[in-house]
Amino acid sequence: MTAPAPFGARLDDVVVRFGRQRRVTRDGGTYREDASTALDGANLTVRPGTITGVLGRNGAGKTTMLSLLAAYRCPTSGRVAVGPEGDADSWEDPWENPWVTANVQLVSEGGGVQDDEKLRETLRYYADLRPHWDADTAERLLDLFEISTRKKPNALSRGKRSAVGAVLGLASRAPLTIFDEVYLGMDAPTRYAFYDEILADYAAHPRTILLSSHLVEEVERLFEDVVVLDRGRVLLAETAEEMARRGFSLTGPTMAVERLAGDRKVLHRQQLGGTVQVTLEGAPDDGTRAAAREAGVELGHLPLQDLFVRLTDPAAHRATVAGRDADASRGAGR
Amino acid sequence: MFDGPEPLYVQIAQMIRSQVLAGELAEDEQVMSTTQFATTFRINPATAAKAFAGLVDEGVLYKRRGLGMFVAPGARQRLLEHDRTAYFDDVLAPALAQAAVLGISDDEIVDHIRHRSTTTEES
Amino acid sequence: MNGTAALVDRVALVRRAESAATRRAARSLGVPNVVVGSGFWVVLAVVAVTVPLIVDRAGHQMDVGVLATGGYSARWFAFALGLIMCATITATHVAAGGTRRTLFRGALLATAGGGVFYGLAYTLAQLGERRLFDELGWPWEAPDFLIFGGQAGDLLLTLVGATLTIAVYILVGVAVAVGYLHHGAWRGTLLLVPNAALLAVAEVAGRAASWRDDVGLGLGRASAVVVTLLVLAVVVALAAGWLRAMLFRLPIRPSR
Repeated sequence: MTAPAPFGARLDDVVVRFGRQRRVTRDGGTYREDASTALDGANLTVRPGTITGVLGRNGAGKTTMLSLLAAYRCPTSGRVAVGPEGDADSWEDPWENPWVTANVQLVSEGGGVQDDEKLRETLRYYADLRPHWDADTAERLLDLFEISTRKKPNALSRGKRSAVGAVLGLASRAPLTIFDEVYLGMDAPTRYAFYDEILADYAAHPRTILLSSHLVEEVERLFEDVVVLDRGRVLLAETAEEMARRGFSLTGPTMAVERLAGDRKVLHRQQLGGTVQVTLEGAPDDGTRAAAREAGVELGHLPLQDLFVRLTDPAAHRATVAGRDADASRGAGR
Repeated sequence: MFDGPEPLYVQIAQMIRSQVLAGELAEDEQVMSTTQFATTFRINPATAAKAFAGLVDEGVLYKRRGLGMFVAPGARQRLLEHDRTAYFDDVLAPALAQAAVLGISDDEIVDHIRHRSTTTEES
Repeated sequence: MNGTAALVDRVALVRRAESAATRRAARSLGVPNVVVGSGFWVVLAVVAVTVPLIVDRAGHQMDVGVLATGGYSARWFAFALGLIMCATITATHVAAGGTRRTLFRGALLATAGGGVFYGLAYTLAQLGERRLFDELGWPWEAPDFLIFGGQAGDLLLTLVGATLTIAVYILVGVAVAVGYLHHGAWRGTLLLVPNAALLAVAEVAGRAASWRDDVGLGLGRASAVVVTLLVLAVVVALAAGWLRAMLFRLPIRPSR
């Protein structure tokens, strides 16, 4: 069989609500909450053939969104479409669609395995069902992560269970492979081995890889595209390069830095005696670079992690909403 | 590594240029493949590929079909010329500007350079 | 790429994926029922032979055989295995790219296999127990479940009836598992009511031979057989439809 084309995915105004839920209050009691909204009008296109990072705080809707792509569940409203690169108009709804589900692999932390059967059984299941399954890769990775197929997943540590997920995802060779927080419990050397395997496998067998993680600093360089989810919506979806141009820092003597900053929007300021570090919105132009060099001001990039924290800051969200409300009331008054 | 303000691919390209300049990569020597580079430095292969493509356009690297990327003949010379010109604008100019701020005269600087080169020659 | 070639590739891939998924689900759901079930029947057979021999040696006589109750526990055994195996493989099936449709088809195949296996075992066990009682010189009374008389032709009817009954138990077992997977402990337990109703209808139908006189329907023997098999077939269809409806709405929670 020829190598399968990478798959892309699209969400159009997708909403997912769950029914009434029992929630735990801070003092340990429970209360009922009416339908909670996991995704609230999410719009997104995942470019085929990229490694795309999916970032978001807990409860932002990452897992729900990824579940839709693999037909783990269907949306309350809106449209989900998945399909091969080339003709995005022909992409199809994944729900009960064997063409899509056979080509999409979602691995979630510790899920998708037969807990009480030997791991061998789970591997057989995947080998039978996955059209592009690579048994040699599976065997090599099991060796690498030191996992015995004679053990039951229930008897494995959290890190080893995550490593099993890494093996399943990589060996599936699925044109759309999704790793949902498949790193929890892994120690640092195992995580780095996992990242290396993703890159090597991706380079040798081009496909689309979605990777959600809270360890932003560790994984940001793996990404070609980045998606940021916040409160059930897609806050940002762009290339890592565009993302990097969203901010930069200037560090140096206060006077010089202030002069260079001009009227750019300051995202963050930190004063250390006579030296100040400001984080500014946007990318530095050549003039700023030259001026900074002359003034002895150091230019720095804004780590994705910092940008992410700032973008999903609840205070920033409240400010935006307040601003929007104020605009709305002004509009209504006219 | 690679934590400057420029985009990652620019920094990667700069690293290769420095290696060519320093003679660590000889002319017609093969450079790492995009894949090797991506896995070695744990970066996205597309990012590495973009840096390499830029270097090919600049004439620092050239592609041999099915074999990989190699350092272009004369690449070091071209980079030297380019960087020599850039040295005065990018490195010396800010240093001189700083000297002016500190009230260091041109004569003092020239003396310092003369003195420094004689001691270097002795050692 | 050539559009027609891509389409042919796609059709082939989907066909292969669907049949592989159906076969794998059928095997994973069905094989344990036969393997573990064999163990169950071996133990039951040993007990069914040993107990009468001991009773005989002690100089007593048994009115009903061990199988009168053993058959009932065999049905629950099949139910439990259907439940356990469904709970075990469902998330894996979907994660490995299988659809709920192929899981459903696999469950039907596993049910057919398991049903025939248990039906055969049940029928043969009744036959064996009867031979044993004859050897011991005891009168053998047919249990009121699915024994339509003592003739050789009746064995086939018993086999069909037992197969259909077991099929209901396996399907309902799978449906109960799906109910819990979807709705959790509370509403999953509530769903036991319709599931139990299906089992109750199957049990009552299986005893047509005994109640047809009590309710004064005046059914002849042949009519009673037809009614029993017909009702059992309908219950199998209902159980399958119920399972299909539950399964096709089932969301999978990504992690445990």
